[in-house]
Amino acid sequence: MDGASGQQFVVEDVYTLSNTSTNFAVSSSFSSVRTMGMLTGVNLDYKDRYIFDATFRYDGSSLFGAGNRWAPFGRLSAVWIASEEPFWNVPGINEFRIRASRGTAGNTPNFSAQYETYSCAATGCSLGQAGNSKLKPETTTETEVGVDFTVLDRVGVEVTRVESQTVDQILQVPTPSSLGFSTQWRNAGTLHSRTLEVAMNLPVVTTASLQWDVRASYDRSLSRISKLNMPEYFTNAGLGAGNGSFFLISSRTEDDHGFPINQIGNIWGRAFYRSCKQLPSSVRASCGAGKDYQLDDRGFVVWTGAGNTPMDGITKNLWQTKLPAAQSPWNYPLSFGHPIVDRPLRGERGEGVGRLQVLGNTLPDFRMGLTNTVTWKKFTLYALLDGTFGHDINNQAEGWGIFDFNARSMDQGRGTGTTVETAKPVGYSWRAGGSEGAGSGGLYDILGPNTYNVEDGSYVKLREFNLSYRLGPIAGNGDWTLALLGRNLLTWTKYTGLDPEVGVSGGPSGSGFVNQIDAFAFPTLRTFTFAISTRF
Amino acid sequence: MIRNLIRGVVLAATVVALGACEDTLVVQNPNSGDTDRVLGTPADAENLLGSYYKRWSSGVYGSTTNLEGMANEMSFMNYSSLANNCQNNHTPYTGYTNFNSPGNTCQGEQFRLYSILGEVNRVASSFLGKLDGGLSLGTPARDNRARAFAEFLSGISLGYVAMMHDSAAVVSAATATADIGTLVNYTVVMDSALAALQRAINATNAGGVGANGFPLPANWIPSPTSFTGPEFVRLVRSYRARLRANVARTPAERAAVDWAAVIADAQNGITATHQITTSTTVGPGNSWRAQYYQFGLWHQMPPFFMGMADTSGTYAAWIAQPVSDRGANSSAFFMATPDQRFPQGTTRAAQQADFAVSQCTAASTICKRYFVNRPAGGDQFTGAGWGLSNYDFARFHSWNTSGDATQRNGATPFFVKAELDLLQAEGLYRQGLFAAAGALVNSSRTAAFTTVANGGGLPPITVFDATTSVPGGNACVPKVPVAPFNVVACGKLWDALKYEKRMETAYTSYAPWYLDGRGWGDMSLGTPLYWATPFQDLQARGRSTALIYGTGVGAGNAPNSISTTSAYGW
Repeated sequence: MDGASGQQFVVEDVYTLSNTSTNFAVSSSFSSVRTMGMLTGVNLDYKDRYIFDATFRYDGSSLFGAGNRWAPFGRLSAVWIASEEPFWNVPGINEFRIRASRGTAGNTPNFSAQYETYSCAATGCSLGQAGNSKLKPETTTETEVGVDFTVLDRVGVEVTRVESQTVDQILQVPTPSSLGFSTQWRNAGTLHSRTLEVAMNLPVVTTASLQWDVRASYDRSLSRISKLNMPEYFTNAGLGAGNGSFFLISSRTEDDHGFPINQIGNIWGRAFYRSCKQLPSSVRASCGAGKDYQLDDRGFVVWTGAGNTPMDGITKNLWQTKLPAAQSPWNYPLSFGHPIVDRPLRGERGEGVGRLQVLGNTLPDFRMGLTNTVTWKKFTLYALLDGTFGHDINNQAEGWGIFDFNARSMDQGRGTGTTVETAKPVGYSWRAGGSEGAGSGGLYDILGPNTYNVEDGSYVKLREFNLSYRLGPIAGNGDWTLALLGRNLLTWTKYTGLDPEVGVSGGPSGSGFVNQIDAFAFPTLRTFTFAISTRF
Repeated sequence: MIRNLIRGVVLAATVVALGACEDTLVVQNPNSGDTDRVLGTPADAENLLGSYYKRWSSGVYGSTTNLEGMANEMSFMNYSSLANNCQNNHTPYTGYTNFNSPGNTCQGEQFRLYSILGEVNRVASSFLGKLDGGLSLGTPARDNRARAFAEFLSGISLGYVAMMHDSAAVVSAATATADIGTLVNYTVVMDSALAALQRAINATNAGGVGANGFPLPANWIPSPTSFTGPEFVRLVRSYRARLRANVARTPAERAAVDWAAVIADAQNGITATHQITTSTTVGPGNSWRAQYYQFGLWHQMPPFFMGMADTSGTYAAWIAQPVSDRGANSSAFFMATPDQRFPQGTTRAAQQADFAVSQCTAASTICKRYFVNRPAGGDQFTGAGWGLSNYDFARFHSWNTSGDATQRNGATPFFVKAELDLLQAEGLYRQGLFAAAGALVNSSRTAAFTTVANGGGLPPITVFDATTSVPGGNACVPKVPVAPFNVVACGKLWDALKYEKRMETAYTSYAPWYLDGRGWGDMSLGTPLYWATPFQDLQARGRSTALIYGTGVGAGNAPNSISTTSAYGW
């Protein structure tokens, strides 16, 4: 049984399912996955400085269709410890090794991927996904090269570069309605990834009473679809609301707003003009102080009409004023003072519809970690800082906040500094009227990603802090230690949501790391722990 | 040599052994059936088929994430300024588009009916394929019952897609399970739908020997009606009449409908309003119907068609103004009419006293009026002034609040008899048989409210031709805009027919005013007449984004996809 639920407790404060009185529900599932395989390998170590390793495996899995259940994989690796060579005489470099490997590995799909599925409930049955008896493993070929060395007998450095290519990538792709089944898992693409990892160990102080060790790490990865065996398609990011076309699965290499279209993690959505430069060239000349289009106090380009300013909405009673479609460069009416959606100009294909474009990317440009361990006499201090930089988050919680009229960002009450000049009508953030509906329901935008709610999610966290004191034996017994441990103590970020560590599992990617949507996930807990421990 | 031989033997044995392991790696999915298992036994196959009317209903009525909200806005049946379900970007006069670009805000709405009905047709076709392949449910009678039901599902699925979208793939019993078919024009899709419905009739009439023939099991089409063979045929023919007429996008296409066939089907269709029994827990349901009782932003009746009932002069004054001035300064439209489907009285207070929704909140109650003058304080003045009125639709308020015993659980009209009568009337009118058409128009026009039914209570039309005005003089109903469309005059028989059909079918089925209005040429100029094949389906078929278009005005949309005539000048 996976789960059970019920509602309305019969007896107060008795929290058992048997004490509930209505809406009982039980869910269950059962999976049987069988794997078999054989493995053989050989190791060769010559003169303690030439090390070779080779493995071959032949694996079978029940997760694939008949005829595709068995596949061979292998790996070759070599290490040359150059510093062990008689000729090695590089001042300051005490240890130096070069490593390289190339191997293949197979990835499996989820349990039900190969099967046709029906979803049956009290309301009846419906079709799920089409089966795929030809599904085979996606195979990743990885080439890794690296170098490890120690400088001055103190500083250890590891540098690793990995290139990998995954062929027969298993993707859940949409199928035409006439098939009946809405999706199918297919070996649909080729994914190319590149990773760089750098790690460094530095014993800063090493004395009899004081040791201070620092370890730093850096890594960055980039993944792009280099080949797609089917037409490109949009997918959701694991939620039902507002993210139906969040990701585009495509092998196109051209850029969209600075992002290669085939890059994994691109967020697609709509943009509001944020500067006169972003306006189409034919409109740009009409933008600026005293002109038809001006920047408002929240940083959006708005239509004001010549001679007005965005501050005149109340004082000149302009908030209900519209620029008719016939006079609008976009052949679409504009509301005074409201953010303007980037959409094709009059006569351009798709006029009237907000232009879908890449707003950011959910995957970080790079990550860093910094560990400090200081030991002084009987005290030990351990601190871990980690940071993720250059990834974007769809702050859907902000959208919901706007929808429910409780977004702090839109609070215009006493004490917020809002004036008659800067006050905004509800439609500004919530839902503009009928004429401004296409592509935008105001900043709320029906929860769709846009340049208002997609934010930089970079952060640095004091992930762990541990101060301990070793008491030693007490009354001749044990080896006692007192420790105070804190986790997630501090966060440095410009992200406006509760916590930049977000993610929604599910959806075609199935990964919260990729589905960077802030949708009311509980923030990472800050915890404090006091511990007394001993060994006997 | 011998050592190499041994190595070879060992290697070969290993490969053979691993090959034998293939069977060990065969695992069945215990969490879900596949088609072979779901249709594997006669009982299972029949059970699945029997559940698919609910699935069809879910595709059409199961969610407000559907085209219906937009279509009702576009056809002046509803006015809402809300962004929900793309209502506010489908407001007439704004040059709107039925968007179809990936990521557009209406993508869920534009895909639901298309995708679910595609699934229903596939399941029905797979079942029919099994029958053709030798599956027997036990007796010929039972086989024919199931065959008739499957063909019915196929017909109404293809038919509804053809009504709303411009193309679809037609799969049938002979289509291989992995064959997605090719997209064909909506007229071809509709031809296939009508053919399927004929096969449904044939299979029903074939009967067959043995047990478990008709009537349909009660849970196949949950309804107070027991669907005996003849009753089922009447239902099928009713749907066929609706589909045949409503697939037309333009007045020219509507005129070219096989009206003789429509008349024949209507005359042999349902003899009373077809009701379904809704259930909020196991379905079917009706999501939009529940929304039309939400006073305020979700719903109000725009005056364009409703106002034709007015005899006080309000509608005439309203029509005399430019569209942009109608409802200016938050002046909601108030009218007075002898039409008994509206609250009676010459003041708002009188109308509120005549009928309030509180009068029809008891279970299984026929509401006294179809429309209600909403309580003071419930008015909403957001959006376009021409959409504002004092009126909401309340005909099914009893179902919405109490059902047969509990809210939205119980019998509710799903295909009103008046729709079929007025389809027949339209056919007769187009054939020049005005008296016969007029008699059918009079049926609901003159009917008085009773505890089991209601109607207009208007004086009958007695002169049956295309040119004589309806009776009543200055108090005639309907009054319609006439050229130059800033004045109104008593309507003719044709106007009365259209008015009657709108009053009787409002909110009774899927987008009734939209489907009629486009064929009658009554939409406002520039209204998109259909939806393109959803981009989700096109991208799954590998169509280039450049070939994905919407409908309506604007560059990149399908040509000839908007209304170019407006019979009443709007």
